[in-house]
Amino acid sequence: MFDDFFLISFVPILTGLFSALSCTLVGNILVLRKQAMLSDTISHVVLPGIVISFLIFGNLGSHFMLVGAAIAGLTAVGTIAVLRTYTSMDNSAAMATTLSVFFAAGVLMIELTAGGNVHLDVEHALYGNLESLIWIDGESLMSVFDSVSRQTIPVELTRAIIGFVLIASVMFVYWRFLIVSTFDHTFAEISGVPVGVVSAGVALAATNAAVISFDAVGSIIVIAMFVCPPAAARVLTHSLRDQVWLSLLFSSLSAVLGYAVAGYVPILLGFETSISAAGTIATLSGVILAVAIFYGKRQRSYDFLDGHQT
Amino acid sequence: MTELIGYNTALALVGALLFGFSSGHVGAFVYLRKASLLSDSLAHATLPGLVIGFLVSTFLGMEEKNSLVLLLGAGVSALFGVVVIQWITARTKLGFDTAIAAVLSVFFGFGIVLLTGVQSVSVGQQAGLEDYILGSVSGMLLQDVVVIGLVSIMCSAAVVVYRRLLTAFIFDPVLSEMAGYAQHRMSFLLSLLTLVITIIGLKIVGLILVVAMLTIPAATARLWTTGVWSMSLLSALFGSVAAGIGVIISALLPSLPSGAVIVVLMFIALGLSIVVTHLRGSNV
Repeated sequence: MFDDFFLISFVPILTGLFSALSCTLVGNILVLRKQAMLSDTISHVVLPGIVISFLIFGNLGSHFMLVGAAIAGLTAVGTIAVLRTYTSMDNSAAMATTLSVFFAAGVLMIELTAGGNVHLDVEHALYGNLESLIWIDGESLMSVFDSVSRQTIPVELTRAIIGFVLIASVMFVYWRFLIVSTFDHTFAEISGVPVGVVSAGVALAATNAAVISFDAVGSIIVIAMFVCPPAAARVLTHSLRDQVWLSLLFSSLSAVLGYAVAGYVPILLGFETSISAAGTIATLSGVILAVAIFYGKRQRSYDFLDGHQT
Repeated sequence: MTELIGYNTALALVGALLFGFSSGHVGAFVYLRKASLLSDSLAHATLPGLVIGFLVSTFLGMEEKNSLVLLLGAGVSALFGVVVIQWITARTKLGFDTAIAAVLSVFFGFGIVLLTGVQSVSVGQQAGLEDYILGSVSGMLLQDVVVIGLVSIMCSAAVVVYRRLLTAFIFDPVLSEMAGYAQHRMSFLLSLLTLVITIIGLKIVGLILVVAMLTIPAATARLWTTGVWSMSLLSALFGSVAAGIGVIISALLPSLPSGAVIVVLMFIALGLSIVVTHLRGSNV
């Protein structure tokens, strides 16, 4: 069962892992800013950007896809701002409108140009296709150090690693700006922190993380990677540093275990084919969150039916 | 009429007109309450219930696409989602946004696990299930339309009966409480209406885009009027017209999912309304 590990499982596990880590890093900030649903919006709006790049460059491997999706992400942030200025919409209504329209436009583009597309379909956009990332020349661990066989590593993995390094280093450099504008917006503003730029940067980082994860887990399950590990960590600790490290741990656990469970458990149970790895990863991250809430300290009693206004 | 567009499309058209009307009607109040994204979360949370409903109806030897069983499963699943959202916000410091995002994605992910599981053990055709994700009116049966129509009429009736209480609750919760209408009951009513509209909309609009039905017509109507009642009627009209035209377009070009067409139509109407009301200087 493990003979073809490097051929079949090595690249999907690493791609899932780095996608999950990137999303979780940004997710820590989103959860603290009470903008968790921004990840929902962004993961939907990148679809038309990805489709347009795909139509222009012909495959999902192109790095221009990142540019296309980033443009779509920024257009969406602009659309939200326009809707909030010219209509009576609050933030949640503007996000709901923007995400549904961009996603609908992406779906229509896919369906209208369906003739030539074998690699891009709506199911792919919804729940990804981690299992398809096969490394043809992957025979053993030594293949990683062999420059010839390294060339056949799917570009999705390279992109996930580059994206993760980019997000991690930008967050590391601007960490103080991020934190001060998240916890005390007014103080940050009078201290001269460019809070608008920081907000746009957070949206851009979320877009980046959503795009590199798009192949792996698709546009909806990616939200679980953004939200669940940071939320679980937030429940267990009051230290921000601990929260980030814990969330990265939870995120790696769900990514690696999720893939393993999806790939091997149905076979062990005697079924022919496997279940969706992306779905299993999301489910596991949810289980971790549930366990964390169940065993974490009770923090307060608050009834959303009585008083939520987000 | 049926000679022009065919029996199936005529059925779907009736369902879409009624559903569009009541979703716009309820949507106006959900919009004013600023609770639009709750329905997005609930819609995604229906997927596990849809798949389980499908398994149950196959197991019991019913017709494979028995939509009543599927909708019942969807309802139970979304209700469980509400309970989990309530549990998270009550027990932890996590925000409402985090709770709905977590429920949305984890329930959907689990639904995908079940869906791929069903595919791999291949009990019959699961093709009907994917219609619920993006909406499809091609396989609409008379019983589907009857259920969608009746429930839509009931939701609109509830809005007509409770319009004053809902308005008071949204704009002045303290007054509403003092008048003897507990906030949690009114909030429950509105959440229940959201849930029911979300579930009957699954077939026509699909679970990803159903949130738009509750949001965009209401926002468009709000541009044209300041009265709550006139806004809700206008919103219902917009929803109904967009759903009707969308279903006809989707019937003529079957590759286009009806949900996506309806959402794009509604957004065009919103954009035109913004421009026109601003040119007239009547934007309110």
